[in-house]
Amino acid sequence: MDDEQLVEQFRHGQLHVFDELVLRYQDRVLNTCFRLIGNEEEARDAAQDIFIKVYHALASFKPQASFSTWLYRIAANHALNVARSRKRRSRIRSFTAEIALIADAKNPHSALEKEERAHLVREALNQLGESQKTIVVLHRFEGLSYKEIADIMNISVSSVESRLFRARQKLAKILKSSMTEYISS
Amino acid sequence: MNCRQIRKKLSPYIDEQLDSRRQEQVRDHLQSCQNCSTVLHQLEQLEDLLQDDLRLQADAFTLTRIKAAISAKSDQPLPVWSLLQKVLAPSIVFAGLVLGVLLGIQLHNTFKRTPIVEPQTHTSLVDSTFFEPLPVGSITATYVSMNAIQK
Ligand SMILES: [Zn+2]
Repeated sequence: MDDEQLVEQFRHGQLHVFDELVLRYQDRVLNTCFRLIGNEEEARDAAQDIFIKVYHALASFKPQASFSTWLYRIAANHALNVARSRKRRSRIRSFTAEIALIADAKNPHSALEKEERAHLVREALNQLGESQKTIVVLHRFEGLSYKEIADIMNISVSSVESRLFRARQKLAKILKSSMTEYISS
Repeated sequence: MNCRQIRKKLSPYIDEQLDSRRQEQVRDHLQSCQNCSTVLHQLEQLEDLLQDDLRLQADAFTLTRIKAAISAKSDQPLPVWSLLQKVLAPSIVFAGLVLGVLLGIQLHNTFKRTPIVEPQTHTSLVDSTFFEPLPVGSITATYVSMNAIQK
């Protein structure tokens, strides 16, 4: 049964089909949150909140777009909100925690380990603007097509294309310098 | 297509989002242009870095927690109802009080108009002609007869 059929059943009072929707999308929503927020614990909380929101909004969901488009839109908006407040908080947070984290991530005995690279990638992603970051996450990590991203973000396919290109150039630049810094230090 | 146009297409080129004709155009250009090839190479290096796909998995209790949170939320009274309760409860108590006081005043006035409880009229009570004969055993009758006895 496809998503739209499940949604239709839900709207006709068969609330238990919501379980199936959660199971289908929980990993995708969680990872979208993780990339956009940059913190695992907050991503898990956010994913849970998103599904609660979806449950209450599903009754009024008008299937102009596909369910997944609608879900990703809610997820991205919620995660970006969390990321925004996280940024505000981290600005007033002391730097000691950050330094400890970076020191922790460093392993003098090897070149960049997988884990450490992932950490640098996450840091780099956080330096992108919201729309560029969202496009990279949805495309590169969630594997969505330009068209799907355009629908989710309510922009044209050519905007997705050009923003993604700029985002990639910026990411490459940030990562090049952070990795050089990392390896040489 | 010139270099500027080609570079705009490099991102969809590596994502294979171009139609086959465009894809071929870009490929041909890259074979003859060192500068665009360098930009492509950078993008490909980035793709390698992003390859470390540290993907999280939702834990086994995610669904249970979501459902618990949903039912906890729907167990709460509706916002409209709880607002009504906040307003209604004190109003009912207040209305009850007002009603009680009004009733008290009303009762008081009723008895005040009846000369029975007026001490100064006690003397005329028994001979009073404007009273209907009282039913035997009623409270008023008992009261009147008690007064009569006291006299
Ligand atoms: Zn060129």
